[in-house]
Amino acid sequence: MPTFKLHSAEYIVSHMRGFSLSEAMRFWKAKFESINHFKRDVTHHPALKDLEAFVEEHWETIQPITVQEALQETNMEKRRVMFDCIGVSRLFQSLDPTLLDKQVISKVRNRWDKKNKPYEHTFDDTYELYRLDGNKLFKSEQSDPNPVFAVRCWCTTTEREYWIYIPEEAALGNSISSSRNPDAIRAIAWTIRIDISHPKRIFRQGDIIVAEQSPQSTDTAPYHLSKEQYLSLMYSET
Amino acid sequence: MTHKDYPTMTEYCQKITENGQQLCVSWNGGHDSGYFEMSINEEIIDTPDDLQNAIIDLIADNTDYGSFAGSFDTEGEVYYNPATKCFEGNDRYTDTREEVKECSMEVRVPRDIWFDSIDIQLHADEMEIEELSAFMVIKDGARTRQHDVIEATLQKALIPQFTNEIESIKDISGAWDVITINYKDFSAEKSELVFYIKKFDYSFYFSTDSEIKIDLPN
Repeated sequence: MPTFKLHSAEYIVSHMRGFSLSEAMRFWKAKFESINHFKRDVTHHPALKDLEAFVEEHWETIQPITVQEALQETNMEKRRVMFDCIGVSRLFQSLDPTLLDKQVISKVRNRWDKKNKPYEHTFDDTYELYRLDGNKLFKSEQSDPNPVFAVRCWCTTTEREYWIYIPEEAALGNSISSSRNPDAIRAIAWTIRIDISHPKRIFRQGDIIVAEQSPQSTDTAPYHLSKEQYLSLMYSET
Repeated sequence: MTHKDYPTMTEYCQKITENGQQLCVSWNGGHDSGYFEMSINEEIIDTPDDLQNAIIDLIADNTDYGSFAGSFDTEGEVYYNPATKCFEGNDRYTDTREEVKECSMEVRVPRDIWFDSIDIQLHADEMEIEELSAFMVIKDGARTRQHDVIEATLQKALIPQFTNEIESIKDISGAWDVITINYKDFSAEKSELVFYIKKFDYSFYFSTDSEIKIDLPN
């Protein structure tokens, strides 16, 4: 298997070309959770094993790109790649977003104890809706850039925190309506799309959505769940 | 000749055609522009009067092409028939329709090169291939001179294959397609990866001829 000169090759980050190896490594350190994630997604081809070994050797000492660096970057395409690598979670946490709505749903679910006996587990599921002013992200790009919205939620099993981008209409409601009110449940509902009518129940595990059919279900064009559907149909979410 | 001389369209048309003269309204248009015009014995009336304009408008309303807005072409003509007191003729309406061309075109790359997918972009009109590019997509990773060489080689190998396929399509109006081949979709053959493109999208001209008969108002 032929190799290539690591330091003279061109590197690509999130589809953008033109990076040096040292620069790309800083972006990748921000983008990938661990060296294993990097190896899984980037260096799976045998010809990239030298690159993999080099990155792995330096992984712990690589300084990931920061939100502040991204904000100072004048090349807008590169800045967007930086935001992509940094991720919505770190971006929102760093930039002091405005909390628009917070709702807590009490849920009861069946669980099983160590003796495999079912019991009812009651817990609170919290959803927060945030707004980040556009001028915090794109100060030099335009005079009044659009705000960005995200919903924050927690995995009910691991309690890991997630931030998910959502569009303005999901955050604030229909733009035609005179009364636009932020709604964290409507926002999280929007993140789920299904393609059957009359679902019986919906399960979510990470990015995987499973919609259980009812006898009335038929195939439809994909659609986002409404708040009411989310509250009545969502059975399990981890 | 004015509207006042012939109070109805029928009277006007009868008078014009009473000695075997031909009164015709024709049209040609599509893709957001076009025209209707009247002619007598093939002589176009450049500045129609009110009554002639009313007849042209009547024909235009009946054909329902409006301002010819849309991606179609139309050409037609109707002649006044004094026996039936109607305008009669034909319209040829040409539109494009999309279709899938089945094929078997080979994409072959060395096994020792890495990529996430290969995008093959095709843009052809009815005459020839205007653009055919092959691009090795890498989301994150390294790109070398070898990628450029393989892309150029691939492009060179695909052009004659696509040209043969496109030349075999009757009435083709164009082909615009981006074919994405993921790395995992290739099969390994010795030192190479091989994929066969089984189809691509194209459009072709589709014409319909229809007879037209337009009554005049009493």
